[in-house]
Amino acid sequence: MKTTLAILAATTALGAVFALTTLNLAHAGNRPTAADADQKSWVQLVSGDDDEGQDEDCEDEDEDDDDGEGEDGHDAACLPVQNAAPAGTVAPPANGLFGSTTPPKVQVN
Amino acid sequence: MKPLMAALALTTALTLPSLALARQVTLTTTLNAYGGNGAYLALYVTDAQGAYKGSLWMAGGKTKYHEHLSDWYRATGGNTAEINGITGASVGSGRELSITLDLADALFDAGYVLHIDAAVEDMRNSPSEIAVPLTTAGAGQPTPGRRYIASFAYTM
Repeated sequence: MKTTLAILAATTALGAVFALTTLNLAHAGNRPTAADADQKSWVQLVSGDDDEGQDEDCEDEDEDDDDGEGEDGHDAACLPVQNAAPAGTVAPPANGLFGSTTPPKVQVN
Repeated sequence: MKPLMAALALTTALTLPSLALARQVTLTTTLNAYGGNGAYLALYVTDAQGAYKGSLWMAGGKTKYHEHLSDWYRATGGNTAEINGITGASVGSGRELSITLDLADALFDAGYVLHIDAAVEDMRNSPSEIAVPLTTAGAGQPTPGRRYIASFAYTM
């Protein structure tokens, strides 16, 4: 009897945790959340690289051209661009489409 | 003791169905040998009314090119929060992209449509090149594309 009770209690607890996680995902909707903002800043901090996100067209090739410059003198098109976080670095968005926070597995042949 | 057993059995019975709220789905997109640079692909879902629901995958990481995925861009404004954690490399001409992910069960047989926008540098944009209803009966059925995509299919 004790064993049966223990098994039932364990399955109930596991099921409840899974259900809560799934329902949270399903009801999150498309609205950006504070967590999204946090993820974004985190990605910005760790993505230290190269020219990813930099527009190659923003070289100093037209210094005399005022077109596109804002009041601060910077070309609006040359402001740093924030690329999306690659798969596996953060959880998929909570848009209600995903059944879990497991990152998608991708293969290119 | 009996009421306790009954209560536990009931809660177990009520919570276990939640385990079936998602299913593993593989999305396979095969590109034509169009001969250009790697294709940017946006895979996203609209609801029965045609309203954007969310993104499933973005092939191609440079945000500055996402505006060429014009239907996706119109729906999202290019918001990177929509594709954080589901972005990968662009896909070369003639290659096959397979994405395996857990999709919510509620997406199937409920009027949702999976779209793929495609774009290639210096070539024409191809919004909603694929638009396929998500149904259990449609699993495994290949859908031909119009320009860059030879075929698309989902299996589960």
